[in-house]
Amino acid sequence: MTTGLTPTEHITLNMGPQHPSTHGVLRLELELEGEVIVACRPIIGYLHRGIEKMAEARTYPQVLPYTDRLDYLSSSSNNMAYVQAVEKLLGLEVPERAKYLRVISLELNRIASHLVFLATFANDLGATTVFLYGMRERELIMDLFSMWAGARLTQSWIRIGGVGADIPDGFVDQALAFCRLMPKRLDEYDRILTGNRIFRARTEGVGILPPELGVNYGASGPTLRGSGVEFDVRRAEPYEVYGDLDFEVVTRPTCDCMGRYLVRMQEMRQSVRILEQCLKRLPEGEVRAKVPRVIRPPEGEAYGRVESPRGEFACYVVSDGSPRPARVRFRAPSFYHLSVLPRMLQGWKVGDAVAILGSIDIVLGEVDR
Amino acid sequence: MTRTNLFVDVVLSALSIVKGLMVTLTNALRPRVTRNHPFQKTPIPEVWRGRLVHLRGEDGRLRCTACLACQKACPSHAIPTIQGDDKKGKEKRAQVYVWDASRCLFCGLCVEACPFDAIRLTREYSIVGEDRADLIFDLNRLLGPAEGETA
Amino acid sequence: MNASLYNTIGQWWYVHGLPPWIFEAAWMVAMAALVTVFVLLSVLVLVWLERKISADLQSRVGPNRVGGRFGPLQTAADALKLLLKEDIFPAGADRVVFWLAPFVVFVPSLMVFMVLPFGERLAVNDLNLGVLFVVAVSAFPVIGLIMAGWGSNNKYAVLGAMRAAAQSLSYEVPLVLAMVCVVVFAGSLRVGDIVAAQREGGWFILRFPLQLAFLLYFITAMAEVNRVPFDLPEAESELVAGYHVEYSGMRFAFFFLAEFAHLFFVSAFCATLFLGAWQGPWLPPAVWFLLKSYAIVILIMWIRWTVPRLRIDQVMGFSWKLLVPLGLAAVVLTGIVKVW
Ligand code: SF4
Ligand code: SF4
Repeated sequence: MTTGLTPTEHITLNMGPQHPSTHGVLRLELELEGEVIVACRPIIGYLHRGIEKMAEARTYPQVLPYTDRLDYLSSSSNNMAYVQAVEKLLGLEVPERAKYLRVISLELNRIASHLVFLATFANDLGATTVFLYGMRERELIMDLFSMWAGARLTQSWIRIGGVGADIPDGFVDQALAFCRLMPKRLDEYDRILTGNRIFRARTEGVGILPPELGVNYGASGPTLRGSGVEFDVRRAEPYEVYGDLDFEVVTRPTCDCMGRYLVRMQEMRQSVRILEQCLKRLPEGEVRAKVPRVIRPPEGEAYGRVESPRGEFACYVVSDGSPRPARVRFRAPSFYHLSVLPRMLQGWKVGDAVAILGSIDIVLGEVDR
Repeated sequence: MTRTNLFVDVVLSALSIVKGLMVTLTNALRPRVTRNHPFQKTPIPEVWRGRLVHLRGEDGRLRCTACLACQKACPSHAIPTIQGDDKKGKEKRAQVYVWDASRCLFCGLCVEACPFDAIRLTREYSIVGEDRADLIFDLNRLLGPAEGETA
Repeated sequence: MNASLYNTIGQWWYVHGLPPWIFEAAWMVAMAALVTVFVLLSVLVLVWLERKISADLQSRVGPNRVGGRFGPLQTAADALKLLLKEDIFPAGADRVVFWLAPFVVFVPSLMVFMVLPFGERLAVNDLNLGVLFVVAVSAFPVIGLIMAGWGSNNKYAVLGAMRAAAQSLSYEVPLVLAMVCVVVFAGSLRVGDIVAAQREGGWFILRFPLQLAFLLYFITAMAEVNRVPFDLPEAESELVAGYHVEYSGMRFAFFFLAEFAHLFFVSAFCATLFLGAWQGPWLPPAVWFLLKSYAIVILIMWIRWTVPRLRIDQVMGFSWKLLVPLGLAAVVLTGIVKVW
């Protein structure tokens, strides 16, 4: 027999594309030493539909429904980024009421998206029941959207020049009722999950994203704010009526999964605050500016950026003066978060991989486009 | 960790779990939110964007004049064919109209584009078929109720 | 009732001068058959209960079609479905090991019921080393889990099996320590004696240092049956399904059966060791026994549907750094109290 240690062999574990915790069709090629992750290679593209290319063959209004399918958990933000860019090209002024309605739609979607985050994150960590609680509250938002836009996820209700239609009767009351309910439910989540010792053991200090690393990789949104960087497009470059609204940009200095989780939990409370302000201040008036039937923006380019629930979602549109955009490009925050993932995973265990992946809250629809 | 800290930690951990148990218990006592689906229908709002229908005017004739505006507006080419009869202008009526549910995004752009208010997206959300051909609707299967009737 | 039945038949047998060992053996076989049927039926009930409880805790309705309003036959329907499923051997699997694993897991989890008294005289065989038997046999399924993980030729399954082995080894220790406390108090390894000791001096959970043992037993029991927060071996969101990821149809059902049988066993044994077993006023012993066991089962399920799961190193740390020292302390304390 030879002496000395037997060399250990690394196992390559393919996590995904069919795996309950990869949140869509992502494949992570993990190199493991026992349970410890030595290297990780995210492999994307399973959901590629060529939306950017398809946009070049569609007229300006026709592109809109496709943007819903990017980040399908918060289609309003995608709509908003695209519409913002097109409106900049057109130099279009949107009625005040439409602006408020847009913010209502965006914030409702933010809560819905964060609730899905909460649900799936809890589920990844084994707390299946919280998954259903999150989904249950999200259903209330879906109800609001379906009575307003007639669709749950793919609303495409932020349209060029305004919103698709005015809110129906009873919407404001129902939304306000939701605003009253939500903080109570958030307290409940805090009791069952945030304070739970096991949950804390699984998230505190896990998956550190140093602020410099995050900035260097282009991270944004709650993922970056969880590392203590105070950057929020709603504050940095206010669009619609965000400049007039009173809300806090939540940050956490801990840089770990817990930090990112807490940022999202707090953001939901802030969103409720924004919603309440908007619903109360909602001015009367038109909800859609006059837009020509065929939209032909002058030659040029424009960049629309919004704070989606995942981070900075942006859209770059180039017009050549024809009714179809010459180029549309989306900046999907999840893509950048996915690219720092290998750095965050190193040295953690398989069990942490799902926690860290869950904490950056990616949506493959916008990564693969 | 010192010994007292460990003790405190253990007690607090146990307490946090008990708190969680109380939350699940209170939720168990709340009314259920799920429905017994096929037997108990979920109310669908009026504005729901579901299956496309063609509306008819008071005279029972189709409102659609085969003007092709909806076809042009559709982003995903879900309305591949529209053909009218040989009449002209407002008298013209659609003879052939094909809507492909498998391509439709349910965006409602066609409805917005229609100058005659001839089509509508309905509350019918369950569009199923045994093969792809079942999802391609011709005019017969697109006929909605005439004016005055309720859907 | 059972005791009197046993006595009546026994006497008759004796009076007619038949060899008593035949009677003993026949009684045992009858009991074994009864217990097997009982266990299989309780698994059906438990699976249904698990679904119903999880649904209640999650604001859902849960099973509500098969066999009436509360879906009591749901599990039976599922079992039938599993029976009809194709039996798949994954390519590259070690066929013998893969084939054998479900039985290796299932048989011991049925065997442990042998020493469990469902009522007076209502145990298959009240061995005089009963507790030791339980410890020995309930450690056995791990071998089956490793076989399943290894035989499947699947990395997730291997990871799950390794976790199962590590976890069950480290939780066996505090489990045994908790049982040792009870044994010290009762002064016997025979389950019947432990029950008898509780008849005289009240339930063990009410006697001073044994609360600690109860707590230890309860926590480790949850780990033994792989329930959240200790469901690492099957951690659905990490390892998809762990060691049984490649199993389908009836073979999968065996794992499922074993898991729920084991769950029922640890709960029933908990009731036996700490809650006075089948003893209680008014109601017949078997009912008391079931009531107590199901109370523990429901508690375990309730916890399972509330908390998240730990990470593998935390699970191990929890056992070795906290439970084992606590267990040792409990044993020493029990000894001191006993000698006093
Ligand atoms: S709803 Fe949208 S996709 Fe469907 S037919 Fe109308 S325009 Fe086309
Ligand atoms: S449905 Fe409306 S838009 Fe389409 S062809 Fe008929 S009249 Fe024109």
